[in-house]
Amino acid sequence: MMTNTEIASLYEAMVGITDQMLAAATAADWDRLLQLEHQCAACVRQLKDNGDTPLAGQERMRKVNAIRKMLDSDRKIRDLTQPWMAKLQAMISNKTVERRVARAYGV
Amino acid sequence: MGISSPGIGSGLDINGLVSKLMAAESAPLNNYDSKTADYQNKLQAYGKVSAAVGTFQGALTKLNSADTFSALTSSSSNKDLLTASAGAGAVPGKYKINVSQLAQAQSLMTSGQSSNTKQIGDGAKTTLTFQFGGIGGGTFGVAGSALSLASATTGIATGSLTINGTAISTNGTTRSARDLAATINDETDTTGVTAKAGITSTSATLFGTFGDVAVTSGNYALTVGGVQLASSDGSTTVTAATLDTALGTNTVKNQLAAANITVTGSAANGDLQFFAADGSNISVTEAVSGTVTGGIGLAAGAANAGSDTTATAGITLSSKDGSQILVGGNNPAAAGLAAGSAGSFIGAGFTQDGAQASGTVTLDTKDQTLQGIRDAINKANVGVTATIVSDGSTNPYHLVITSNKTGEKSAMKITVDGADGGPVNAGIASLLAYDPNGTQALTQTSGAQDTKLTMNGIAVSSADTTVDDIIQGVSLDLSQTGSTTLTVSQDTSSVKDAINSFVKAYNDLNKTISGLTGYNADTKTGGVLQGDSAVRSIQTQLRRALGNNVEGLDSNLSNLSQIGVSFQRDGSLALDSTKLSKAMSSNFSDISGLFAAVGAASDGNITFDKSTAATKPGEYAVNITRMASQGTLTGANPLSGSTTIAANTTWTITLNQTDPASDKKVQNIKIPAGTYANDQLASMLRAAINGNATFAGGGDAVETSVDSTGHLSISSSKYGSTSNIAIAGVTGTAVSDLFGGATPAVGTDIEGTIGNVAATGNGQSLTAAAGSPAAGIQITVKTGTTGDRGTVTFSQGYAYQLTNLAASFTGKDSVLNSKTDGLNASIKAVAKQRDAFSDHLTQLEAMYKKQFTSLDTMLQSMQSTQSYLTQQLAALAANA
Repeated sequence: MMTNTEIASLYEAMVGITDQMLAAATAADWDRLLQLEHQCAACVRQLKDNGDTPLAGQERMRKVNAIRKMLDSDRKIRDLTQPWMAKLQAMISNKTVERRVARAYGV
Repeated sequence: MGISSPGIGSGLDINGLVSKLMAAESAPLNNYDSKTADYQNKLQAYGKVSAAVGTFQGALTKLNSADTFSALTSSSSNKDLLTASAGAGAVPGKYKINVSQLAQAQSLMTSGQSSNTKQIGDGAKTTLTFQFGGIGGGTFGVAGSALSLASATTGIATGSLTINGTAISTNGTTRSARDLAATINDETDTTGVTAKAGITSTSATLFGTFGDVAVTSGNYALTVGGVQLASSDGSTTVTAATLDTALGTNTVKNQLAAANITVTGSAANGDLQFFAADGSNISVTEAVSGTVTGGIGLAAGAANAGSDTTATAGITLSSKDGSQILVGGNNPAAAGLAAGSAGSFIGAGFTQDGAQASGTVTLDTKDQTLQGIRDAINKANVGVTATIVSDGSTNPYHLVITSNKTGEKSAMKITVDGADGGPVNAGIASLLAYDPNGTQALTQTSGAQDTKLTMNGIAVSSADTTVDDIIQGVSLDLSQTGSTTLTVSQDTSSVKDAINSFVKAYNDLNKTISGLTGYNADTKTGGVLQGDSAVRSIQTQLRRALGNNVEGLDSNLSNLSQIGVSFQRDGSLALDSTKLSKAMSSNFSDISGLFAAVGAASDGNITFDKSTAATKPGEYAVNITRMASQGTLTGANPLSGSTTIAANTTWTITLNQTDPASDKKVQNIKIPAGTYANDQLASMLRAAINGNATFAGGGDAVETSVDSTGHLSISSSKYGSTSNIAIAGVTGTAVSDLFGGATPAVGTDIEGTIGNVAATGNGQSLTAAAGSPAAGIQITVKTGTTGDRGTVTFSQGYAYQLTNLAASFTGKDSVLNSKTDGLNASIKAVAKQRDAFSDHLTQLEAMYKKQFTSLDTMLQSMQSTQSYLTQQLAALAANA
């Protein structure tokens, strides 16, 4: 069982990770983003495993702030990631290249 | 994957990546496309050049063949009678041809047999030997008997006689063989039969007794054929002696000669005979009045009441084409003939033709039925064909044997012997023995005869219905008798056509090359092969070849402009057909040398065989140091003039034996028994040896001859070092009986020089050695002496040169070929690059796919994180 202080600290650590994720997304460093998200997901699993421990006072404030920051970053990361994915999708499904090759060489 | 400043994967810049991806849509592939298209255009262009060169080569083929220029057209005014084809050496002209007889093969038919499968004779193993030759002397037909006294007195009544179905117009005045022959010969055109009257002769014993004639009262007169030889009114005595004296006087002689009567013997010797060569009847009459004793057939003192005898002759019918003669009519006996079909050789001889191989057929017991004999003969392949015909009579089956060759020298002689020295099957002998000069067991149904014709009045004969070279270089194919006119003219039109298509093909090639390598100022575009020096050089080389004169020609024509073919300003060729026609009419024979490769020898006994691509034009001296010879065995002693070959004679002949030795060159030959004059012996030996199937199959043959001093020699027909012959006796007559102790000589190859360089001899042909300008020239020297033998000239006309040139443009290792190979390699390389690029695209795509999937999973994970956080926040707010 984690202590309340440990839980609050974990939330704040996640904020750190999320901030780095935002930085990676902004820099279009997708590999880094993926790496950080794995860390983030691991933290969430830890929290879920710990069960719901109601926090109070200081710790509760820290958790609320952390969640707010994280949700904010989350939206920003998505805004950055989704257009890139759309582009990727377009490129992957674009078969024009192959068709032209086939036409030119009869392969 | 490493991580670097903004980017993914192997450090690719994203924007760069995207733009590259976009570029992949166009730039590189367009590049590949246009590169390949360019190569393929070039390839196609070279293909066009190649094809145009090929077409040009095709147009040269006709001009490259000397035959094109020697071609003549021949037309016959009667195509049913003959068709003709003119070849080398023919001379234009008009030839009047009259064919009187067509060649045919001899056919012999056996007597009728009751069955095809019945055993004939006693089964003894028997051989049939077929020899071929000419039948000379005598006639083929029927000999009639002397006319009866009745015919001589009252003539041969109308309707008595038909020949081959045609009625012969005999009547009361047809009283002698002479009259009858003349009447029969009136119908010869229809019947194909001629009649010859025999010689009339009075009986040899007519004057055997001639008692002195005493005339007591009245008169006695003796007349022969209307000529009075003696007469008496009693004042003189007619005796054998006075009769002979009278026959010796000019008066009587002249009168008898006028009556065509000849005399032999004398009355005194009792052998006085009178003859009429023309077959007239000879009447011998003693006219008597009063009392007379003695005279013909009477002793002196025996009463003579007068006598009258008439001597008659018979006729001999002969069939023009050797077929059977059918005698009919209501009384042919009156003409001395028997009704029915008949005909055989009468008084003829058989002369073997040594040039035609003899053949032997062995009949084992199982072969001794009509069918078996037929099959054995056909299987033996001896130059005759046997068939069985059935005529529906009581004994319907006849074996018919026909010589495979037409012509009068291909008549058959069939000898039937016991095999291996054993007894002969007499049944087979009586069925098949046939000797025109002896036993004729078979009936000739069709005679061996030549084609006989006249050409512009000159009589010609040929063994075949195809007659070659009676008009030099023209082959005639005859199909019936009659007259026709054959016109042989030069085939100028095919030469013109060939020259025309050559000019056209050159211009097409020239146009193709110019179009592909040039620049079109009007359209401001260059050809696909603009400036391609290799293709340009084809044009240059062709032009140069066409511009040069032909070397080594002894002729009035040595360049193309002389026959109206010349270059125009634009580099094309043009043909002035007026000039060509003129050149053709004045120098037709020289045109061939202008186009084809021509080789000729100045010595008429030397033939120019061939040249090779290495042969250079020029004139080369020919010197022969040794003529080729044949392997020969010549008798040591002269023949006696009559040589007997014993029965069952077999010799082993070794002919053209090779190294290592081959069994096929050693054969046992049966030598037909008989007694032979020198020439007959030579013919017989040649035919017997050449009749061996193994020798014939291997192309081995012999020639035989007897020289003026009677020495017999046998040679291999081959010439050169591989020509040899050896003969050893096995059974019967020894070889030494004919050849003494002679040993055979081996043949030698010809030796000599061509163009003063030693040449290689092989038999009679001599080939100029490699390395000299004459290299590859092959000549054949058949006759003549050693020493200088003139020259051979060799020239290469335009078509020959251009053909070789064209082959060098398109063949293996040619410029066009290497260009094409290069282009094909480039196209392959581009395809390889394209494949690499395509792989690269695939890899990129895979990488993006992976990234997309990972990000997708990440977003789901982020979604669940967000939900958790939102729920936590909501819980916190609720607790607040």
